[in-house]
Amino acid sequence: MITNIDELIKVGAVFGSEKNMRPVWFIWNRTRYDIKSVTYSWMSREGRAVTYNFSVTDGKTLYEICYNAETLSWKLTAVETE
Amino acid sequence: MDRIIMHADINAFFASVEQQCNPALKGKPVAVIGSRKRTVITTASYEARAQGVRTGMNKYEGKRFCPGLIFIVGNNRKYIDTSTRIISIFRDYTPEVDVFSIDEAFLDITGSLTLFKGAENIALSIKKRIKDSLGLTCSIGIAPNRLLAKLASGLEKPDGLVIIKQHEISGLMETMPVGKLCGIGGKIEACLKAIGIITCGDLGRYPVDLLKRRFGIVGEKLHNMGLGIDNSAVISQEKEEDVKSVGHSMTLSKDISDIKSIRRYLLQLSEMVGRRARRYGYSGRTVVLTVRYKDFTTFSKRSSIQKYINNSLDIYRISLGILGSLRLRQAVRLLGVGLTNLVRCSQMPLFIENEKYDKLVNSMDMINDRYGEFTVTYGALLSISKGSGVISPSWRPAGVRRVEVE
Repeated sequence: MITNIDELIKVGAVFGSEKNMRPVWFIWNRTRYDIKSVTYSWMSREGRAVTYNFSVTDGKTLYEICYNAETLSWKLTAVETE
Repeated sequence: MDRIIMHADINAFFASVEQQCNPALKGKPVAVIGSRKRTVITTASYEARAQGVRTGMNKYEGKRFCPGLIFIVGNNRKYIDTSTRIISIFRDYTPEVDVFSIDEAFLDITGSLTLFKGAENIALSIKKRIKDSLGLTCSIGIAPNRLLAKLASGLEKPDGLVIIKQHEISGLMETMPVGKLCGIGGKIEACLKAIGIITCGDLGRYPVDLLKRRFGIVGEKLHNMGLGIDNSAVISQEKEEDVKSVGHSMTLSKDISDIKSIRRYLLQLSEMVGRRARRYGYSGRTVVLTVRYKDFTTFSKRSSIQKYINNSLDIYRISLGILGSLRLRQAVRLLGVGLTNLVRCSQMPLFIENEKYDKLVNSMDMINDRYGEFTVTYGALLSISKGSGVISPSWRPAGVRRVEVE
């Protein structure tokens, strides 16, 4: 079951040369989560702001995080829970 | 030169995207549903379909067929972005892409065959790119026309590639059930069965005059369909006719009779219609109100005025006028508001009051363009859910048919 979170987080990401980016780790509630794989990504808009959304997993749990290109901020949007 | 048409259909689109997002769902029966209370299954994975789960079933029906069914609340923005990326892949092979719905499109690849070394190579290349970049599979049909291309893509699912060549058409159609053709639904199929037509071969042989007498002008089209003939063109979005209407409808979270609540939904729908019309520079002078009762009886009533409008409040006032002329006999399940008789311009305001109001609307639009739909809106709408919750069948990746969703 997906639980919505919507909290600002710190993210380490690699911005590639071909307009792509890959989140590598994130810190939420003072815990660092290393991203084992990005399972899916998509773009969406809220007004003029473009957000880049990622489904990621640390090997145990599935998370949804997003990067707001307008505010240059990252959010944890949801967590998959049992 | 014979045309070569390709039809590509993403397999169990929404469910496949969700299985891709969450690898734990792969190989499991998954059904994608809406977020609202009275939702139905919008797509089921192949594992769920194998147990009888179908699109349109409610959650309880789905569970009855498949007790282990996993429900996932769909994310329309995810699907729209995915569809836009897939359509962009198609456009790398031909500019003639006719987006049929969010998960299927026709491509006229006649002019691209030499460049990409044949139709099969194009199909395999598209399938590989979609698989590599998104992890999704698609079924592709290739044939001399749209009707047969669509038929072909449906013959091998999932991940199929079927090519129908000109000389194979008559043999294939001879035994093909008429219900397999796009455009022949359950009702027509039953009518055809009543006159002894089961296969496309039967349909093609049936006298055209008798078909016309029974089905009217559709009779000749049915005859051609039976023979595998379809001369309709693949029309890319750039060549599509201008839209004839802008409309929104919504199934309410519960049936309502309370006129105050109905008015509030009408205001919301009018704002959605007005916003989209203004964004793409359309005005209209006919407003259509659609009502569906709780027993699914549905009707529309329209009202036309002299001047062309696209202000949400103008649309709302006219829809209220229509509502006032109705005597609602049951609780309302669905409401819709549409604007038709469109032109591509708006009327200059003649009076200062109108000018002031236009400036206000313009300012609201600018804020909502900048920060998102319903950031600034009417006070009456503050407590209800905003925006469109469903992807309509007429959705297109760009232009006025691109409806932004929640």
